[in-house]
Amino acid sequence: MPAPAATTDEDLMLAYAAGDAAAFDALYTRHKGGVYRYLLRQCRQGGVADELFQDVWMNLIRARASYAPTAKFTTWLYRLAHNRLIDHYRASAHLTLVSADDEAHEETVAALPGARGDDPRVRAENRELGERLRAAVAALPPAQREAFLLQQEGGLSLAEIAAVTGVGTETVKSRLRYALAKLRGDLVDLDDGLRESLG
Amino acid sequence: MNETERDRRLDAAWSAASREEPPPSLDAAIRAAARRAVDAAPRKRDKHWWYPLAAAATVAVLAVGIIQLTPPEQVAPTIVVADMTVAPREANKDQARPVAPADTKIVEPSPAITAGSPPATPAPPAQASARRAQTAASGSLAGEGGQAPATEKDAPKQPLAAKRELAAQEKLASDKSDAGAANTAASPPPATPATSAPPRSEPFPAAAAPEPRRDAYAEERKPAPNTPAKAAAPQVARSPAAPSAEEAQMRSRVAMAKIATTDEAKAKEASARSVEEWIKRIRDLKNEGRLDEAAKELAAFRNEYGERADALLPADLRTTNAQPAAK
Repeated sequence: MPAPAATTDEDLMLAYAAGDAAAFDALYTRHKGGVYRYLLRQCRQGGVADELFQDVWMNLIRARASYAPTAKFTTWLYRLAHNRLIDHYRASAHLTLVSADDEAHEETVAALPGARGDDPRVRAENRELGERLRAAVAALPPAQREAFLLQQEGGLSLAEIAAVTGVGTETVKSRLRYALAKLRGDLVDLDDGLRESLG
Repeated sequence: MNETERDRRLDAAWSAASREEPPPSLDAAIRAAARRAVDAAPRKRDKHWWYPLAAAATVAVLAVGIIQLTPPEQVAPTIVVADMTVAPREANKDQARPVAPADTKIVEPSPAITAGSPPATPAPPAQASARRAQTAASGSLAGEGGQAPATEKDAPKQPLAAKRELAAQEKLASDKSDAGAANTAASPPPATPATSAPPRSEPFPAAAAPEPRRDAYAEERKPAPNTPAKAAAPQVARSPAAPSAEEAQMRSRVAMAKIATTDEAKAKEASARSVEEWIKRIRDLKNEGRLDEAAKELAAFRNEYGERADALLPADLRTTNAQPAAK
């Protein structure tokens, strides 16, 4: 039974904690894409992203009984994803390599996974723009990239990003400012084309 | 433009460029895991299902424990004895009527039939009704669980009550012998405890006991006296012209002897009843020259009163003490 759109994420999570499996389906449908893309952009490997994605949702299922709506559900969900990602970074030896963003543009762009669920029409129209943009995001420093992805994929505010990442709001604001400036600089030559494609 | 504001062009470009979704197999696996977790988890309301049951069991155990620890004779019999001391006969009527109307006839025999005789047969219904009243009084406090312990506690008192009844009948018999209305063999004491003892041992005598009593009452209504067929028959052989005041007095005494359970009432009744009668009987036997019987009675008196016997006996009877020993 699909949950009504007016039902908040917090209500759905409480309903699922009380035993309503349909509430979980609604929650999962709402947030699966953002969480998956957040993990995918961060770890840059499709298989690893799948594993991390499954772990995040399994952690949510296990922690359902202890969930309390003290904050937005998305904040809690992306904190789970962030923590799982940190665990992945610590378990793997590639944390330093991934963090070295300045000279790894070409490698990270090459390591970007293909768009599995892309709309063929959109991909055809914005192939170049999309590839350039993904490459530019992948080239961002990890902290800036995380802040940018949490804002874009999770729709979190500055305070929520700060809560997820465990830093102050001003730090988040600074990271986002640097990330946007960097992306604009990378895409400046496509600025006219971007305007035209977006209408 | 503020640098922290979101760039709408960039947002649109990113949403167009980033459209990846998790594989359907992963979706199915996660959804299935979520359903399994919900189905396998116990419901919240099932966690504390045993709380009301435990509370009820605790209350029941406490109630039974209080009932077991509370002596029933200190609660209900005191009330019954107080009523009986005021108006024993009225109390007998009041207690007998609401419980078993059929027993009322037995409690109140007509003066023409049972005048001057010990009410051995009518007494058990009154006793049973009094016991039922006690049980009902204690039952209001203790419930059904309190009846069994009360019955167990009544069992050891049975010889004492039978002894009192026997003494009362002996007194009545002695009164009769003094008046010359009947001989002493006409009222054999052992028959009375045999008829009155069984209802005392039964916890609920209302069902089985009244039938023999009705039969005995029917025997009493027969015009032929001195019928030796049944045990109650010798008690029926009474003088119809005996005074009703004496009968009422004796019946009230017997009823008190059966119902009163406090130690104070027991001592008072025993002291008021026995000594003078004993002395009178012993003295009569001695005067008639029946020294052996007098010595036996004196020995029985000494057994009854122990060390106090010498203090209670007059001087002339104390000297009689040596005669049976010498013989």
